[in-house]
Amino acid sequence: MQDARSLCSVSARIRILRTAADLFHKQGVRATTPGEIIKASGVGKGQFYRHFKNKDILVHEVLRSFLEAVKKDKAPVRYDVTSWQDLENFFLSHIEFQRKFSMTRSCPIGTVGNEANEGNDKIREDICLIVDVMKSKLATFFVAEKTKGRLQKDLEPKVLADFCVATVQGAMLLGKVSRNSRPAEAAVREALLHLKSYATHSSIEPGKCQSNRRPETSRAGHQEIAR
Amino acid sequence: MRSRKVNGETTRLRIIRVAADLFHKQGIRATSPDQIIDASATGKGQFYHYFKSKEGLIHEVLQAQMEALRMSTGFVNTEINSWQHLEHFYAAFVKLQKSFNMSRGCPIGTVGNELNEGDELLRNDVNLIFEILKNKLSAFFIKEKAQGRLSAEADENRMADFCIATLQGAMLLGKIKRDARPVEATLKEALLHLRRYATNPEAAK
Repeated sequence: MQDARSLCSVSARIRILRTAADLFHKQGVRATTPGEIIKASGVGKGQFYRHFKNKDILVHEVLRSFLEAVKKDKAPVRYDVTSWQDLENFFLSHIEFQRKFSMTRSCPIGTVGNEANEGNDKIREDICLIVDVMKSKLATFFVAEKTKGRLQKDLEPKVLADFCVATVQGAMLLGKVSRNSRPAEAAVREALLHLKSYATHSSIEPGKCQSNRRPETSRAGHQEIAR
Repeated sequence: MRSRKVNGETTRLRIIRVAADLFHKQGIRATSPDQIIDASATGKGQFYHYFKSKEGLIHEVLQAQMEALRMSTGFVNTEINSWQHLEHFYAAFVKLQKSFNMSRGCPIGTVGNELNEGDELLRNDVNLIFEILKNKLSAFFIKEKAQGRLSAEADENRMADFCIATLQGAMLLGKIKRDARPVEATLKEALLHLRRYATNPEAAK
């Protein structure tokens, strides 16, 4: 009896978290009421409030689950990047993820982050943590490439990581607003071109530059940089 | 009679201005009509006389922002005829964000991010604003290309998409971090990328 009940309780908690995460992604935190989450997750009101005293705590728990997923590389998008191919996948899988929702949603983390106004320091701190993990994973790749001499020496890995996260967020917003993956993909492909232009020639295997519409060398100013 | 009409227009504009500021500050969902009525010192009857619903008001706010961007009468000069103008275009957004201590994102992007499947009218408004900005940007790139100053391989539309995406993403990141550095760093990288399409990078400075 005790076991079955606590098992039930665990699954109810997880169901609430999953439902809330989905609703926050779909319509934002502000537009989602506890009532909606209770209804959509099929738990009782009492059960809901037993697990989560209020909405703020639930938001925090949802964001913590996002943080864990990104940390452990179990998010829908992989942030553990160890090659240029991985980096390309990183960019494109964001758009692929968006397509699953017919381009009606942006990034779950960006959507909540956009709502972090002056009074919402708790949410903002949670989002900051997630963004920092994303950035450090990306920066790790750039550091590794730099160490191997495959990236220009004067580059700041943190800056490149900021550039990656920002472009992906902006591209997804563009995709959501236009309900079209084309501008989102165009933006991330330009970003990739930019990053690859920093690589020294030998580090990007031929054939792995498929994302570029044209060979890197045909590009006016970029070849100078790559040299 | 005439002055009443003038007063009416002043009230309408005041409501739009106050609403635009609240939407920018806290988003459309977190802003109630009552808050706007309070902050604009308007009567409830007056408010609903001008705006039938909150959605109608958001639509009017976006229309006003669209006009300001189209006519270049707002905080940013959207007439881009040189690389320096493009740089100033980016800088105007950063300046706006800094004026709010990095606590707000882009006024347009903030609303765009909050939209969901049911908001077709408003999504259309935000999309139109992005299209207007993109057209202004791509027009510059097309002009540069026509004059042989841009690589033949450069794709003006993709470059414009990239401009808007980097700008929006950078501002969102800046708001989340309450820090202008990632914004400036991202936009600097974006400009570097765009300028490398110039046939004479030196002249593009």
